[in-house]
Amino acid sequence: MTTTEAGLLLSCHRAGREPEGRVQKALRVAEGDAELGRRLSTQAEFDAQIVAVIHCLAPPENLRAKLGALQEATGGAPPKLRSHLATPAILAALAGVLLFVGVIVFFIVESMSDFRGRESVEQMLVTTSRLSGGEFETIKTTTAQLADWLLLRGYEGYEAPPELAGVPVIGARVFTQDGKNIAQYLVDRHESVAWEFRASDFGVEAPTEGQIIEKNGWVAAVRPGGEQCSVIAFRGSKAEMRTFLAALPKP
Amino acid sequence: MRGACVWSRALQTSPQTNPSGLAELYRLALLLTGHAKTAEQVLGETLAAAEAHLDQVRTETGRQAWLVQAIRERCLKNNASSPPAAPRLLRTDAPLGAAPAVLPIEAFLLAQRFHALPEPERSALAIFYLDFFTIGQIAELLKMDLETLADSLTTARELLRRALHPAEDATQP
Repeated sequence: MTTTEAGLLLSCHRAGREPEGRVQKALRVAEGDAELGRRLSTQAEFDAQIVAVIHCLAPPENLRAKLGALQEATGGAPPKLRSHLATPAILAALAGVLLFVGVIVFFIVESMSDFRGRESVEQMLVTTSRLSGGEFETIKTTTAQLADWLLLRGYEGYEAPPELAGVPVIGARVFTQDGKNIAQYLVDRHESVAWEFRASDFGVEAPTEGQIIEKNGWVAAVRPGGEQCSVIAFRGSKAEMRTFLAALPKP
Repeated sequence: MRGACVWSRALQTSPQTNPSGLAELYRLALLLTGHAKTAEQVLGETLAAAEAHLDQVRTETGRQAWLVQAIRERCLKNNASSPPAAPRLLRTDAPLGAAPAVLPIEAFLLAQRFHALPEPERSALAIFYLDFFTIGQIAELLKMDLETLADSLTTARELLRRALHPAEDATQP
C-alpha cells in the first residue's frame, strides 16, 4: 500500500474502533510515516471533539412518549395492517383463499349450466362434429314438413321447434345412438345441424331454460322443456350461439 | 406505551444491551435535518413504517441498517423540500468540549453545520460517528467502495472544520 493510498484510507479510521482490512494496513503505513502520523493524530482529535459534542445531542426526556403520540396521530394502526398484508405469508394465504373461492364459484357456475343427461347430448355433439355432410340424404323441405319424411325412416313423434318452423331443410337422416333413434337435419341457417330425440331414451331431463354447451370447437343450444328434446349446433362459440338464438323469431 | 414498545421491538435491544440505540438514531436524524422537531417527526414516521420491515430482518445489524437507511432517506426527502438555512457562526469564545451547560447549545449548532454539508459527505460522516457500524458496513449502506467513502469522509471533515472554525480558516494562507 502506498503512502497516498494509506493517507486516503486513514480517514476511515476512528480512534477506539478496531480497524479492519485495508484500514488496518493504512494504520501500519502511518506508523512509519511522520506526516501521516500527524494527520491521523489531528483527525483523531477532531473526531473526539465532534463525537463528544454529538453525544450532547440528547433526545428529549419524553421522546418515547412523543413518538408514541406521533405514531397514533399519523395513524399507526392502518399501516400495520397494510404492512402485514404485504408479508409473503399473508399474500400466499390470500392467494390460496382467492383460488379456493374461484374454484367454488367455478363449480357453482358449472352446476348452474348443468342438466341431467348432459353427457348424452355432448356425445351427440361430438358425433356431429365429426360428420362430413355425406351422411345426410339431400332433401328440399322445411322443418315444419319433416315429420312424414322422418316417420318413413323410423323416427316417430317429430315436433318441429317453433323457433325453426318453416326454415328450409337441405338434408336429413335418422341414426342411432345407444340403440335409440335420433332425427338429424341440416338447416339452411348459419350452416347449422339440428337434431331431435326422445328425452327419456337418453335419460335427458331437458332444462327448464335453454342451455348452451361447447365441445370440440362446436357449440350447441339445447331447447328447454318437453319429451322431444331439440338441439341445434354449429361450429363456433357460445357468444355466436347467443347472437344466433337472439336473431331467431320468438314462438 | 405503544410507541415505546414498538421502538424496543424495532431495535431488538433491551436497555441493558443497547440503551443508546434510540438516542443514536435521534442524533442521526438531527445531524441530517439540523432541526430537533423535524428529527422527531422523521423518527416517528420511520417508526410507523418500521414494524413490518423489521419483522423480516433477523440480525441486529440488519435492523439498524434498515432504520438508518430509512431515516436517511426521509431526511434527504425532507431536506429537498426545505434546504438548510444559512448557518449561524459558532461562538468562538466557547471551544468544543466546553462546560456541560454550554455544550447542548453548541451541539445543536453543530447539528446545523452538519445539515449544511453536501451529500453524500453529510450522511457518510453522520453515520461514521454513530456507534452502530463498521467501516465496511457503512460503505455497503451508502453503496460506495472504500476509497469513495474515505474521500467523502475527508471532504466532510474538512468542510465541517471550516464551518465550525471560520476564523482559523481565514488566517490560513
